[in-house]
Order: sequence, then structure tokens, then C-alpha cells
Amino acid sequence: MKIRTRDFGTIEIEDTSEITFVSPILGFEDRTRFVFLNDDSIGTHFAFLQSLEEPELCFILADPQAIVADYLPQLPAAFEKQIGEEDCMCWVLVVLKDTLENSTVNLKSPIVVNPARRIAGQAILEGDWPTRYPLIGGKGAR
Amino acid sequence: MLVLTRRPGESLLIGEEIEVKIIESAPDRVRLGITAPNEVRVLRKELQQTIDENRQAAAPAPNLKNLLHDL
Repeated sequence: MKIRTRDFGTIEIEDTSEITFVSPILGFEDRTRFVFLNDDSIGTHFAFLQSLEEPELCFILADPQAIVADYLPQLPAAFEKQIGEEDCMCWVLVVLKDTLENSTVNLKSPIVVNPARRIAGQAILEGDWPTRYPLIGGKGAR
Repeated sequence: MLVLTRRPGESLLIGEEIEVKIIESAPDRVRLGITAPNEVRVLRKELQQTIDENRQAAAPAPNLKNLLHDL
């Protein structure tokens, strides 16, 4: 299907690449249909979470393993029930500022994706994970 | 920050219309009951922080490609 995107103009994607948020991105509860986009020139540590319902709504995600060693968070039990037992992937939301050094990621509330079921959700982790961790140059999250 | 000690069953009053009651306490958690008018929003702090960070993450931002190429 053809979709309008915030950063890539109008593009063609597979219908099967649609991801449904079964547990919402907080503050954006009415947007549940998204697709993950990549840009080879940016690399695999970043992805774009593009809304299929609102072309201007797009989140930048980062691979937390590239930012903190061993990011293997314990998901809350209720969230695990919703997201399923298959292998899931964690991404963290990036708040991009004028420079990469000033940009941060939210380690407390990752986006968790179950690719097998094509569903996702935003989990809120227990424990004192920071909501604003440096995108680069961080010294350890806990 | 005002710091008080309460036992289970005891309450705090905030302003004219808000009551916070300690229902039970355990070594690693406390169960609270909140009575407040409908228009007063009561939210776990980390939920509000998540909402705020999500909104910032969705806001117009510099082009990531440009920032990466500046590296």
C-alpha cells in the first residue's frame, strides 16, 4: 500500500509490515497502526516509527543495545501477557535536539515489538531507569 | 518536600478535597487509596513522565541524517 510519511514522502510498503499497538504509546492512545521504516544511510541502530493514521506523526527509535550494554529489561507481568511469549525486540524513543550530544532516549518506557504477531506496545519498566539518558556518551544507566 | 509518617489506615488531607489513605504497607511497596474530585488528575509519576517524553519525541526535530553526517 501507498503511505504518506513525515520524513520520506509518499512510499510503497507491504501490507504485512503494519504493526498494531495493543498497548498504546502513552499520550497517543488513538494512534495504533504504525510501520517501521529504515534508512540505510542512517544505519541499523535507528528506525522510524511512522503512523499510518497521521502522516506527520513519526517517532525516531534507537536500538538500546547500542546505547547501554545489556539492556535486557524485565517487562511488567501484565504487559508480557499482552505482548506474547515470542521473542520481542526493544526500541527506545529518541528526543532529538539540536545536536546528538544534547539528544536523549527514554530507557524507562521502551517500545516492545513482537514481530511474529506484528503487535507492539510501550512498556513502563519498574526500577529506576532514566527517562532521559544521553543518546551518546552516557556512562551507565543504573 | 513535606515528609510525614503514616501507618496503614491513616490518611493525609491535601487542600480541601483530596485525601490520600495508606491502605497497607509491605517491605517493598505501599498501597494507597486516593479520593479526589473528577477534575483532579491522579497519575503515577512515571506515566506522566512517559507522556511528556513521548510528546517531545513526536515534536518536530532536526533531521537525523544531517546530525549523523556532522559526526
